[in-house]
Amino acid sequence: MRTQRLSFKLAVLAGLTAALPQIALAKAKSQPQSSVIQQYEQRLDELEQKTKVLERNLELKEEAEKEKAKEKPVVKASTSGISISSADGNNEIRFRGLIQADARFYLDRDGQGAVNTFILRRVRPYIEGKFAKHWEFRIMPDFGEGKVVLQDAYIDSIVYPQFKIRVGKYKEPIGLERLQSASNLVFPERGQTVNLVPNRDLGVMLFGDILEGILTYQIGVFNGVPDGGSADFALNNSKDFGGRLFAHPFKKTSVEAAKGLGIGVSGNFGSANGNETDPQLPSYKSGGQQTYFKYISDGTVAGTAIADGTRWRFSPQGYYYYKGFGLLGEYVISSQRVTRDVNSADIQNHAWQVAGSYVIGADNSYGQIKPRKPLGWKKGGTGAFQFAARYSELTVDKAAFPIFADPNKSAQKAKGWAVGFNWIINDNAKVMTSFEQTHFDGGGAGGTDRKTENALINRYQLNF
Amino acid sequence: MKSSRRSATFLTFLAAILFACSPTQKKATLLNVSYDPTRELYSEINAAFAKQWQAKNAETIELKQSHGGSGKQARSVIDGLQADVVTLALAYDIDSISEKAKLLPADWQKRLPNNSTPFTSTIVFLVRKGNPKAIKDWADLAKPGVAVITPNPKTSGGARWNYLAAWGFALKQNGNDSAKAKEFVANIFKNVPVLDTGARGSTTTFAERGIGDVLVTWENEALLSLKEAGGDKFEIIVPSVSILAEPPVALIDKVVDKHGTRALAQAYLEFLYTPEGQEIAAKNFYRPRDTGVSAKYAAQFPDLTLFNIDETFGGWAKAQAAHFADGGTFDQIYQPGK
Repeated sequence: MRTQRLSFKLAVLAGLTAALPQIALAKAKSQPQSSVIQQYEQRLDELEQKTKVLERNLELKEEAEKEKAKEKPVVKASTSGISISSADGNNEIRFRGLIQADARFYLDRDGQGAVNTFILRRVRPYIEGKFAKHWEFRIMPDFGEGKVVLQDAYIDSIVYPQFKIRVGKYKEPIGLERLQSASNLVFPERGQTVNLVPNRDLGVMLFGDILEGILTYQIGVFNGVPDGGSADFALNNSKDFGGRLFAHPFKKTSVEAAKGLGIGVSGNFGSANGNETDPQLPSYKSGGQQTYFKYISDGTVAGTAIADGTRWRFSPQGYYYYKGFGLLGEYVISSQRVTRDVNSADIQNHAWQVAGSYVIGADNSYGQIKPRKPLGWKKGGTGAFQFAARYSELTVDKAAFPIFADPNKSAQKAKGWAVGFNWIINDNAKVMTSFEQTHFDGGGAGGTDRKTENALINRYQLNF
Repeated sequence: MKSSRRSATFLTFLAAILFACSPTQKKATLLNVSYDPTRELYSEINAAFAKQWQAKNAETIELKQSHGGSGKQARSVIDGLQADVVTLALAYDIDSISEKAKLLPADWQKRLPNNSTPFTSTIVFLVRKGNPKAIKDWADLAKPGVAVITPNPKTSGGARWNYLAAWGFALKQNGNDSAKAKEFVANIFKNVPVLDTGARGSTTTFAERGIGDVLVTWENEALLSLKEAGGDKFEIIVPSVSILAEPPVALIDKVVDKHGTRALAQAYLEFLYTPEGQEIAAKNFYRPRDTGVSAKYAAQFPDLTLFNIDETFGGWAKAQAAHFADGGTFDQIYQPGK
């Protein structure tokens, strides 16, 4: 409105300036020439001043508006979700989400509970953000598989990039593939190693990047959870101490082909004590998400194996990414003192996996793979294509059988190989398909092997 | 036994990580948040101080400066701008930081000599060469047809000094009659066509955009404009009476303690009082406190009768509440766009 008024004034002034010679000419007829010229100059000066004042005020108004705009909150909608941030960027809330709609098919069904099904594997609307620059947070529920679970809820205090403190519920830093975001997985389901590492746990963790990101560390104290487990509270006073060191030794070198190499080691130790109603012991699942191993449990003291003492895990791990190529490998050993009635043993289970993949149309990564040309009818982009293969296996300690686990119901070993194909449509959408065949040693009735599982898992994923 | 060994291992690991993660030795950095026309002064001060610090401590430092209207700068510090030191146009703005953000104690002004004002200035007029509107004193600014350039007292410390200088003149002329002083200042502001947010902006309006007949400004700013314009464009008019402007300095306790820069900030402010600092101030047309330096530069600063804020207005707190707070006399006499 005010700009319009200024424009109007400027127009009037321009008109007056144009008319001035005519006015001066008329006056010249009745006044001495020098006096007329003087008046004419004076009027011109006045008009010039008025024009300058209007221009300057307009300039100041625009400056003030720019300044004001700097203070306005910034609302942004992008492939990373919707965010609202303060003008200085110190405060921000991001609304994000992940939906994974799966179709699982079991070929040659083994009659052991596997049902072809469509399933919402993960439904995670979540919010992240920060306040006062140094305090970040994430709250992430999950409505997948017909359950409501609070997956993450934590606060990060960023003291220095090298020294941050995380408090709350989050992934305990042990398994390499477990720590990879669910939206960035190469296969719809993780390999066998994920069975032996903790999932989400509550605790306090120090973490950060040192040596300009060459070395990453995490160290913390947690309630402690069984292999593959998550929990929202502790069952006893014992706590798990855990940590991880991961290095990108060539990150800062000029050797491009070596920059994507990452190697690390992680582990934890603590003590777990279960009881007959909550044994604090794990069960293990196949790639098709069927349980193939569990400890004996009938709800009685005599008939239930329980966690009863020292628990520790150790995992060397690494990956390598260069252009389209990617390779990930990890080994995990998990030990737990187990008791059933009067019998006790330290059960040591171990697992390993190697997964390789090749991406066409994008650089391969442990993080998000972003197609160079996302699918688009007009621009002719097709997205990126990822081909993958994996071998993983898990071996249960022979000492677990038959006292702590029933050899006719629980397999002693699972060996799975998988091939996968992913179409990464754009930064948000991905279609995945994988076929995994898992062979078992034991676990069948009468000392036979559990029937081989052939699982075809398809996924349509949207994340933002 | 096993448990205590585990705890010891954990603590050793934790200590190793903490040691590895301790912040790397960074170059010490100091941010000086200052008012509008001090850019040149602090550029020179910073260079001299950094050199001295390097010589004494064998440490390279980085000195950053930020400039704007004094009130605006104070607001930025209150809102979180991490100023290690503030060097503002008036004590009230630093009082605000103390009062609203509790970043430094209320008695901050007692911590350095001369109420923490290492140098002073006053308010004078800059007119176009030949003084075409024959401006000689404050009374001429209120005459119809005289275009006066001064910044906005709501955002600029210099503007508040200008305003109070005019008010003080009117009080003296009218036997301390506030009503007449108000009418007088209102007449001056009727002649103000452009209100910039800071003193440097007003200088731009007057000197570069060619607007107005007289710029009411800091003496240092007027002398600098004269120097930069080469003496053939403007001249300075010294009014019969003006105000003693005391721009104060202070370190911001909570920020320096957070940054670990207290010693550096203290030394920086103390440097302003040294003969070297005073000489730089005088060269940049600020009136030095040091008698030796003051005598050396006496010719640069004309003698005029100066009144101070405490005597005439009862201090900054009272002046601020009466004149510049929302609904104060400035709001009563000045309506934008009219």
